[in-house]
Amino acid sequence: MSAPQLPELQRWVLTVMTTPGGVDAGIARAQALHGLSAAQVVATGYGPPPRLRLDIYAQGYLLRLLECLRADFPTLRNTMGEGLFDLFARAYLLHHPSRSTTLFDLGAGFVPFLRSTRPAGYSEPGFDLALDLAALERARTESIRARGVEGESAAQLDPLLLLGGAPLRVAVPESVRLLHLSYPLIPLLEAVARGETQPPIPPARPTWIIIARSHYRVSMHELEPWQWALLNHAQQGAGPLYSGVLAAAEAVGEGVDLLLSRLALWLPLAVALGYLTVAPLASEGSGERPGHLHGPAAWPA
Amino acid sequence: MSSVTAPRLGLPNLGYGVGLRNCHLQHIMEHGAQVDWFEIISENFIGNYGWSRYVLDSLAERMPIVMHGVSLSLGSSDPLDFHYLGQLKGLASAVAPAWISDHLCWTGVAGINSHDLLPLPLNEESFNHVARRLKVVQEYLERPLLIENPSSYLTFSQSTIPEWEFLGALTRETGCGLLLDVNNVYVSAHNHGFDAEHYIRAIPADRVVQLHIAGPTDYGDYLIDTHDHPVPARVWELYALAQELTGGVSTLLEWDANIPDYPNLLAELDKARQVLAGRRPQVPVAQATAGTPLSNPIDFQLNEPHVRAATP
Repeated sequence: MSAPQLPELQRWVLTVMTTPGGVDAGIARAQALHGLSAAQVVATGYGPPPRLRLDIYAQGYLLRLLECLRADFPTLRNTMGEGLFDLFARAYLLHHPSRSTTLFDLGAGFVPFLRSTRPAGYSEPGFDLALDLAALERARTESIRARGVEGESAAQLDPLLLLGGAPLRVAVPESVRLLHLSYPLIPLLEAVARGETQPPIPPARPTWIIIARSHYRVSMHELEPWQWALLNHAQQGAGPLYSGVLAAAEAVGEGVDLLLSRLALWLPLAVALGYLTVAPLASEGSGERPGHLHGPAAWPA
Repeated sequence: MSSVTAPRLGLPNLGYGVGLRNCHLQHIMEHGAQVDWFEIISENFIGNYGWSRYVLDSLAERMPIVMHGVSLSLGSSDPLDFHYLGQLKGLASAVAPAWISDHLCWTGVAGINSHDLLPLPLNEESFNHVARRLKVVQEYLERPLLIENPSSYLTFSQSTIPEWEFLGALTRETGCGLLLDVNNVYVSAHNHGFDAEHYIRAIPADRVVQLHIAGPTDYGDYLIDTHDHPVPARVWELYALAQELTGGVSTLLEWDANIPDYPNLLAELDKARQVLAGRRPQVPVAQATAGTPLSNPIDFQLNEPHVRAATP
């Protein structure tokens, strides 16, 4: 029998490490798949036996990735309980092993995976709560690292410009995440972050959430439905503010004029919190950086 | 090429540095770096535009930065990941590091990343494989790479070349530099029964550009490279030997789990200066207490700063 080559040895070791059920199950599976025993692969003659040496890598593999998911989803873990969370996390890692060069990507598929485990027709409030928590915590992780508006000139937005009908272009930074959840979960995340182990679970209520970053600080806020609808429209692609107002009015069934008046009060705060950027519509393509307003002018037809 | 024969590949001795960790960023921004240079984990800053990247960019404007990678997977039988290499080159372009390093290891195969630094069978086949890929990587990055010896917990029946000979031949064949982790030498020597001092004496000293020091944990039958305790006496002895043989190279203290506050981290780094002045801290190897051992800790990747939940 010829000596095993590098690809064969590496597949053997990775099989041992990633097979569920522990190192013995891994060694047995690796032998079945690749025709090599532990004694044929791992050198002996000094110190611990091959099984113990392989177990260091097998345990480390699972623990390292589990710790990563636990750190990414602390509130979900606290709410589900450690045992149940680890059960789902282990199943996730088994079906979705990391294929990325960074552990920051590890949790990216966890929410869809959790959703996929719901049996057809199964309705359970606790399941919806878990999905909401997972989505919220993943979105927060993504916002921390995404491109934000730091370094750009800050807009000093005059509400009168809005009332005067200045044609503005709005864009939502990459660091913003918008979520429509079934539970108001921000207080729950705050409580777990403070170290509370059994914070109260809020009753279900439709909730519109924004996660945004300003001056490198990530914050989570609850929005009114029209605000969320406007930002959601702008997140699909930068465009005229007025288009967003029309979309928001249609989404929530309220008048355009009413939303414009609310917008005049809210938009400066929204810009300051990093929810969106504004620029004169006329300057599009001029190379001028966002944040400088010209006007007033008429709303585009 | 002059760098082939010059000590340290012609690269500078940066002095004493620590790994840049998120838990220390606020302190560093408020009180200054108080070290000569920082080493970053490259993967933590690729695609990162948040607070930690802002701090890195600020530091890179005024002091040396070294990029240390964990995902090159130089020894994998998978094809080289040129998407990752492109990201690495992009980060290097922004940070302008003094050098870039990674490990003599593989991290996965068949597209799967274990996120561990896995040992290679060391033989002629793997040498040719690693050397060929390293040349490609160096050509792509347009600079010599530093290769670090990893801690390991198993060796292969198929190995025919001692690790120190493998690394020595690799640097001669490819022109790469060496990042000699004296703690990893200590851990692997303990786990595999070779002489750590012989290993360090056998490494071509003129190709060593940087040293790593760290604290492992004793699990009875074996040592684990946990990076979570003070550097023990034996590692300090090996560190002093390496500095003597190399004539002085950059020192980097690694501490990646149970990370102390910044002043205490600096106090541990200061022991390296004391060692070179002839004083040897008499610190025993930390004994395992409980829990599952985890080499290559990932705390740094789990504690992103500046997360704040609030209501308007």
